[in-house]
Amino acid sequence: MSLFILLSIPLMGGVLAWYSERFNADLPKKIAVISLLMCWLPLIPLLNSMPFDASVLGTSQWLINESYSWIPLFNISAHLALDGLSFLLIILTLIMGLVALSSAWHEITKRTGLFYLNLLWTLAGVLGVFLAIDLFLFFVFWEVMLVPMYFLISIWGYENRHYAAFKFFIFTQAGGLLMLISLCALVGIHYQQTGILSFDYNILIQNPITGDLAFWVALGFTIAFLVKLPALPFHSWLPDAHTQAPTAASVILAAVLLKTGGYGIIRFVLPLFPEASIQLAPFMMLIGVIGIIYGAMMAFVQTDLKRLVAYSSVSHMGFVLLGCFAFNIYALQGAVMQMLAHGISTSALFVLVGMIQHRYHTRDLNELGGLWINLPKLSAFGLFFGIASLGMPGLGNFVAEFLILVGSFEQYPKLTILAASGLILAAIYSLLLIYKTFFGQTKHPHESKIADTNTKEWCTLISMCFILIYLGLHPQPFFDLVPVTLMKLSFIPADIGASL
Amino acid sequence: MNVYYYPASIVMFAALLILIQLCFKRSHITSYLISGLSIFIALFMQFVLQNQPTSQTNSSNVLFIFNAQTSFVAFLLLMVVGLIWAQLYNWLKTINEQKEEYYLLFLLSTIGGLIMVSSNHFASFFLGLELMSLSFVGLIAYCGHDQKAQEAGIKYLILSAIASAFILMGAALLYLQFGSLSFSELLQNTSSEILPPWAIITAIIFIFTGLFFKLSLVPCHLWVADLFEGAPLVTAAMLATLSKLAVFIILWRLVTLGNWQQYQIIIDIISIVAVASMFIGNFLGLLQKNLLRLIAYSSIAHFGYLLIVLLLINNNAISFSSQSFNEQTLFFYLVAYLFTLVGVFSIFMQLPKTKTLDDLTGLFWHKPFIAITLMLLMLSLAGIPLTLGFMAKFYLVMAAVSQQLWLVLTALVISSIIGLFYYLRVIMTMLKTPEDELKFSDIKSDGRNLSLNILILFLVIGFGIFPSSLSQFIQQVTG
Repeated sequence: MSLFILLSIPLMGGVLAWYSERFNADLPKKIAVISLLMCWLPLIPLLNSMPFDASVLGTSQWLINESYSWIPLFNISAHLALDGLSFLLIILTLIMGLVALSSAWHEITKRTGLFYLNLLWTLAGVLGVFLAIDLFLFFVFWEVMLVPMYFLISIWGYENRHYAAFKFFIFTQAGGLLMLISLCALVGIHYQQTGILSFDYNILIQNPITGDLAFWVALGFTIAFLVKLPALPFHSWLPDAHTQAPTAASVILAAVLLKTGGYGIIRFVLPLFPEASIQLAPFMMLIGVIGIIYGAMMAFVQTDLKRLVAYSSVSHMGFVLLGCFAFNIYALQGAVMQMLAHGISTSALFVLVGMIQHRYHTRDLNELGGLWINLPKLSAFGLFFGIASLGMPGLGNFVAEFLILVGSFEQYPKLTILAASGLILAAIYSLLLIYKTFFGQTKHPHESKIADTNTKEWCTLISMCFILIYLGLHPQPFFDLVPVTLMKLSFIPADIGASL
Repeated sequence: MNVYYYPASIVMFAALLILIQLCFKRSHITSYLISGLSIFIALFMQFVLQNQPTSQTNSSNVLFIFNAQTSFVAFLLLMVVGLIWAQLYNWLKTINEQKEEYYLLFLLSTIGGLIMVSSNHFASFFLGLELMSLSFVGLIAYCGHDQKAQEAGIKYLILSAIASAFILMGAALLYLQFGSLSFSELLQNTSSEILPPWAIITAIIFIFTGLFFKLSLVPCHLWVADLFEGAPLVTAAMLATLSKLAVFIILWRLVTLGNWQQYQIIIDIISIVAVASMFIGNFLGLLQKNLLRLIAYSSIAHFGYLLIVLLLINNNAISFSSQSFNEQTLFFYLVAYLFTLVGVFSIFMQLPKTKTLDDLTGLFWHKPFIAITLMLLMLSLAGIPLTLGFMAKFYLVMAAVSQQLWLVLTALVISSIIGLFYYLRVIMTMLKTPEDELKFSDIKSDGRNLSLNILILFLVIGFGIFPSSLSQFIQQVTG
């Protein structure tokens, strides 16, 4: 039951928050915080036993496995299960949910109840995506988490919000429909080949489908995930959505929503279509590398701070794609690490941009500058996260990118060399961001009364710093949590071993 | 008399009763109650009949066929009519015409629909069709002072007469070949070739033309938007639900009983019409400002999707899609679409002054419950998960994938995305900040409307989240 309880807490908290608005406009955010903190309760037994004890993971893939019958006609069940990978991503989701709340605390003043309803429901949807093991249920969560996100952007966003929300919804829905058809085709072909009608991941994985159609089915799934990742031809919704979304929504979007794409590839595409994904790999590697370079170059020319960070996301997520399709254990572990590190560093940057915009009412790089004089603490954090984003050794991002590059060099040396140039480009745009925002001539000399970070903001940012440093200095527990051998990724050479 | 005739007889009796009542004393409320009572008694009887073992009276020359499927469709039809009836009283109070005759025509068209869904013979089918169409002419042109309504009425009269003529011609040609007007004999005498195959195909195309007109599928769709806009709101709701349901059931029965998919050209025609309807319907809806026209175009697209069901027969590529699964798909889709559409229309009836999309601006901030209901209905039409519309689309995709109809599926995906644009536009308009604070102050949200909205939400969202009871029921029906 604990996973269903985990899902229902934010759902009910959202409804409660909405209802409480009629009593007091401040009540919704308190309820939101309480319900997010309560989400940790079902996880406590796991937190006690698991993270630093790899032997728990040795026996079976699923730590918790819960299933109820849902639509018997199609043999669809409400099947939630948790393994190391989803555990990590759920922790990320819950932490980033708190960060998003912290950044929304003073920013959102209108229609607070509805805002926190949508925020909590988006988080519930994302949690569902990470937990659902029945493919139909996964699809339902995949689509449903978009609707509250759409409202978040469309109601509380900035000047061009309707267009951005529209684009976001249409792009992801198009990917979703493609996935629906691939999903049905997968189940149909599986039924044809084995005689078992099932949407259950554990059953589908036992007999991966073969044949010509398998390639197309895999491609359908992959494209749906690429849209969310986002990879190059399908990325154009991301800068708009990020730019127009309120800070809290940007944080959720960057930290967890994009991760569902990478999660989908690792969880579903690679194990369910072992043959087809090997066929797809060269194209995906190419798309990943192009995404890395293109995203970095686009980030370089932006004048809007949020757009800059958004394009840097495209670049970083290219590494995830690279790591997923390198068919190498180092690269795969690196991809998971990249999802975590990017989730934290990029959303920290969005939080910072939100703080700057809250204080100066602009995100234009040309109108900012010299912030260090007025806001030393905030600028120091900006420096830290900018450097994290360029991949400084000692922080999580470096570990991730290094592993991905090491892993994919074995099979794709030329592409990897190209991808490595992304690190240099990342240095260029990150330093540009730091230089133009925090150093240089101050454009607002008379506004010295703008307050620096308050305690709440400071705590949020400092905790994110510590997480990044921990990820960079002691990543081993996180690698242990993702037991690649148990995920039936059969292509990994056995002699390399499961852990680094 | 067969017990299956009772529901239609009761409705007919109520129609006569209203006619007699009109001779003595006009009373709006009496007519309202008589019609409502008859519909609900018929609904109840149909429900009882649903659980009865079917008496197989499949001798070939009977006019009607009664089995679990026809009972189910009749039940669905009566339910839709009942939901529309629930709004009728408040709506009729707002118009300046005599009110009682509306109930008469309303019941007559219901009888026409009931006759059609269980007809097994061209004679009974045609009778039902004409009864329904002619009542519709009256229903459409009911507001005598409304120019647009008059125009729409004339349009419908002429076009539906032409469509009927096509159907009659097709039926005559089929009679020449088979020597019978019964649907169940459409297949039997094929050994004695009297007519060349092309003549039969011509006959089929004639019948299709007539039926496609009623369903407003693409080459015959031009009337539908004008009609929805011009006709009174309730009539538009009846046209969109009752008439299309009855006609589609006939189309399905003809195609399956006559095994018309044996002709490749018929398959091609259905595919082309389906794809064209999806695309053209959704494209026309794209920049539409008038809400009713938007719904009209969306209904073109939805029946385009539904036509996929007709392509699903006889090539069992993957065997879980048996004949019964195709029927389940058909019924589930019809249930989902009709409930959603009735919901949309009843919301429109609660917003009497709302004609265009812009009139909805800011509804969400003033009447949140109505707006949320409409939003969820739009999401259901667009096929977003956890709504009934999504489950229907899922059924359709499952069925189509199992028969590997990749081309139509591609069209379905692309046109659904196009369709998403205008469904989202409706939602987005409601979310915008309103400029006029008092615009929605005249909307009554009394208990009746509220409970109706809750019922609609229960049907659309409840069955969307927990579809298993509905799907099991449909599975039982199709046996």
